[in-house]
Amino acid sequence: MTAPLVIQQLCKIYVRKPFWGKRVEKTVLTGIDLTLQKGKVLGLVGESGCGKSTLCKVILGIEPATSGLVQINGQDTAVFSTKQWRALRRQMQVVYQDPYASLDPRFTVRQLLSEPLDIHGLYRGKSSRETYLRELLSSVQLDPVFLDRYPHAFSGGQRQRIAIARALALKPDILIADEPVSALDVSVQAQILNLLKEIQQKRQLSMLFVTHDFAVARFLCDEIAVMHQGKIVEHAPADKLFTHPQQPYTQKLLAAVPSVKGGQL
Amino acid sequence: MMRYLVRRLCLLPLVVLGVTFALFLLTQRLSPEMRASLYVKDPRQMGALEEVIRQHGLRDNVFKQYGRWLLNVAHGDLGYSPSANMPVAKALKEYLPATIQLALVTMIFVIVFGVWLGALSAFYKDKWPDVLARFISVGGFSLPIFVLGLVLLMIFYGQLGWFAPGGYSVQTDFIIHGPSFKTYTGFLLLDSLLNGNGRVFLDVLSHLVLPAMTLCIGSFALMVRVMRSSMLEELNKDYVRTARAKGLAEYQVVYKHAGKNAMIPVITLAAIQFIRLLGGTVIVETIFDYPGIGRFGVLAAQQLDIAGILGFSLLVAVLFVLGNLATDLLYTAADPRIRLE
Amino acid sequence: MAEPILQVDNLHLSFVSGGQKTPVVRGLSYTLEKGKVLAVVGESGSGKTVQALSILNLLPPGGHVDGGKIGYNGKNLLTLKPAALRQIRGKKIAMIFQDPSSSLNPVLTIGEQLTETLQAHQKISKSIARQKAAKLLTQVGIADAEKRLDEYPFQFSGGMCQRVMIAMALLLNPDILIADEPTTALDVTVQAQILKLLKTLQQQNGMSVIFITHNLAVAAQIADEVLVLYAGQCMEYAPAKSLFKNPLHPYTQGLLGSLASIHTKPDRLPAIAGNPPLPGEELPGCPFAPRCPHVLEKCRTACPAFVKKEGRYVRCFLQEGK
Repeated sequence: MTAPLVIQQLCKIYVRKPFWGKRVEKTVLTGIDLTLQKGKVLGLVGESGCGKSTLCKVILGIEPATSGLVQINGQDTAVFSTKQWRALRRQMQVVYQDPYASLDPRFTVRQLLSEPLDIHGLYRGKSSRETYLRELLSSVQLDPVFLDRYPHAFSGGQRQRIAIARALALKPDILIADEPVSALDVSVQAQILNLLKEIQQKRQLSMLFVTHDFAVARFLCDEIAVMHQGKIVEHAPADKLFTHPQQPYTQKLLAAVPSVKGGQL
Repeated sequence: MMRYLVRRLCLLPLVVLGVTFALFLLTQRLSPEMRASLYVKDPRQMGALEEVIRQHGLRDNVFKQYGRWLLNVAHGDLGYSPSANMPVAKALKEYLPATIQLALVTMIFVIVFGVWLGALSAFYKDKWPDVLARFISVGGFSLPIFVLGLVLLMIFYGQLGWFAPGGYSVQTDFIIHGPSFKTYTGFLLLDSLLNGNGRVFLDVLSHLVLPAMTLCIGSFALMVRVMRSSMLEELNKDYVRTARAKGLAEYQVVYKHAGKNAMIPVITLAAIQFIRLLGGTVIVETIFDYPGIGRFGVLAAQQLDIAGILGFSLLVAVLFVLGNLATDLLYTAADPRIRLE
Repeated sequence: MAEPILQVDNLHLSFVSGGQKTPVVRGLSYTLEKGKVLAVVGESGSGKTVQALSILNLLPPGGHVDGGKIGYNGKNLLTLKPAALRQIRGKKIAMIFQDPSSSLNPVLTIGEQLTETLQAHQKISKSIARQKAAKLLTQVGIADAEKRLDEYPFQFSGGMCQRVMIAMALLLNPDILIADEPTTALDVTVQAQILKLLKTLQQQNGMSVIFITHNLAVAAQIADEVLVLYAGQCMEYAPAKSLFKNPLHPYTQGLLGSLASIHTKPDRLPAIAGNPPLPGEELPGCPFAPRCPHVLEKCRTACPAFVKKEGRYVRCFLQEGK
């Protein structure tokens, strides 16, 4: 059985070649090897600027890779046409960090959720569409009466639920979550984390969970890859990584995480 | 930095060649007879057209003609301008300082008062100074330059007789072309001071008032608007709060902190406006009969004075490239984050 | 008993926009003691930042003081004339902010921004001001300080910018430092360094600190006392040790319970249900009532009083009877 997402020896170098003058290169990712197993959650943890967002962009096809392989459900994405990418969206979806920026304020929830369905020609019938949309909202624990409201009427947590519902609309089997709870209030983070875990388990989603927060990663992830300066420095099953971190960098990061029980400095 | 300068200066000949060659191609649409007729001053000499055409090689292939023109330019010979009745090079040398003078006076006024009023307007947002500034800026925007120019001319010259059109009065003309007046820079305002002649200075200044006022209005309105919005944006930034929290006086917060940042977009605007003014304040110079290169360009174009048109375009292209370069340099001075490479 | 240095008494703040008034802080009282660190913990919209800004009258446009008193040195800061307040800003009470890179002026050198602070309050020459600025930069752990004075903020990383901000705040040896989420924009490793630095300097200078954060774990690391804000009201106010060990208010309990931890992996996090109230929402009773697992009938209509209990304060009916 092929893994949903396989990355081999991925490199990303940004090159700026001015019309006149020297070529400037900036290496962002070097030799990334990652495999996301079916139905598992892989955590990608690192500090800002470590390259985790760029890696997401490459996986999503927003940025081309400089070299290396990205395979999604057994297909090499480097040779994808626009049409193939569109087909792939049915298998892979993404939830972003900022639910205020990722939802178009001029769209109602109904329009937001319908858009992917329209693009892929799903649930065309009026009543079947309505039933599905209501089902979608309930699956993220939102009241279906919210369908005709605009995003500004919702709090951050509710917006993130809508963003998750939109990502689930096409019933993907891969979900990329890019810091999905970092912008949320503390009292709401736990709800969204629970929701993500529940949905992941129920739908057997394969999830790539990108975060800077080790505590959150511990709760959600089966495996964790720690990134630093464009490289994976440690990749291990979650339990093992937290109890026996091997690399000094991981140890340093874990030691810096503040904890309520840790007491005074 | 040095590399950047050199690179940009290398672009200069490219732009100049492009502009002048394009114009040259256009002039080839005119028949050689038409082009030649410009050099014929007396109708009785019309028979000599063929002679002129042959003499200037007007039937040659475009590239050959253009090459010849370039070669002459390289030797400082821009040809003879019938419309100005003197060599093009001499005309440009005489008219450019007047235009620069006009543009400078205008820009100083626009920058000083525009920045001041814009900053004031932002600081007193929605209070009366702001309302006044916005009124002025909308008014200045919607007033066409030629209408304003004619109205000013009508009132201040026609009715009050305060400010006359032209570059200077007849007496001044007499003085400056007289033996005792030395030309140092070509800028009359400066030269009159260097000669210690206050009357000439005042006379030249008074002739600048109306065209400068007319030119000001549009630029001024834009300047106030840009400064206001830029200042409003800066006043809301975090570092302004920091400056207040440090216990700085309000004028320091506004002028030193917010002001310095707000000036960055203003610098580009001012530079663009200045270049535009140099490139020919065609309408204003025509209305006020001001002896600048704008008026020269218009006359040359009207009379199909090809040498004049080419010379004018050459100058404008050079000014444009140098002006843009100067803008970039100003930028680095204003914003340390910008590094030119 | 330590001596109080700043007393906030029944503070009411609101925002006015489009003729509509939205209360953001409703009757907040606390006392900052000399040489202590008070953490103000709350979510976005709880009023934690706004109340701090009001201390130095730095409220953004639209912000409005509706009532209350902020006592410092026998004066009420809220009614102080601008010129008198400027004497206190930066000199007696200094402030650092959440986003260090945007809190420094991008077009002025670090040296200029440091020395102007000194010169705003003291008559000293530029060169002496520079020496002092360099000394402070060294103290906050910036190497090569003399040279770096001539650099611009964009040449510093986020953590370094925050060090510069701290140096700037400490230049005049203030009585009180207000730190508004000073580590939120930073990476964990940098956060740990900055917290350690703040704590060390605080203890060295005997300074009092108001530390505003949304992160309970950070508060636990640095605070002597913790004040928990929710929807503009203080829910609980207690010494840090007892608050983290035995939270009394259901909101504090819920917050502490819902935190993910790197030490355990539960199946589900015990989350607080519902969402924080939107700004301007009517809150007739206890603001936490709609989300409270122990809600009583009267919680929805009446707001409980802020009662003292064994050296700590709590606003909850459940604690009143006991």
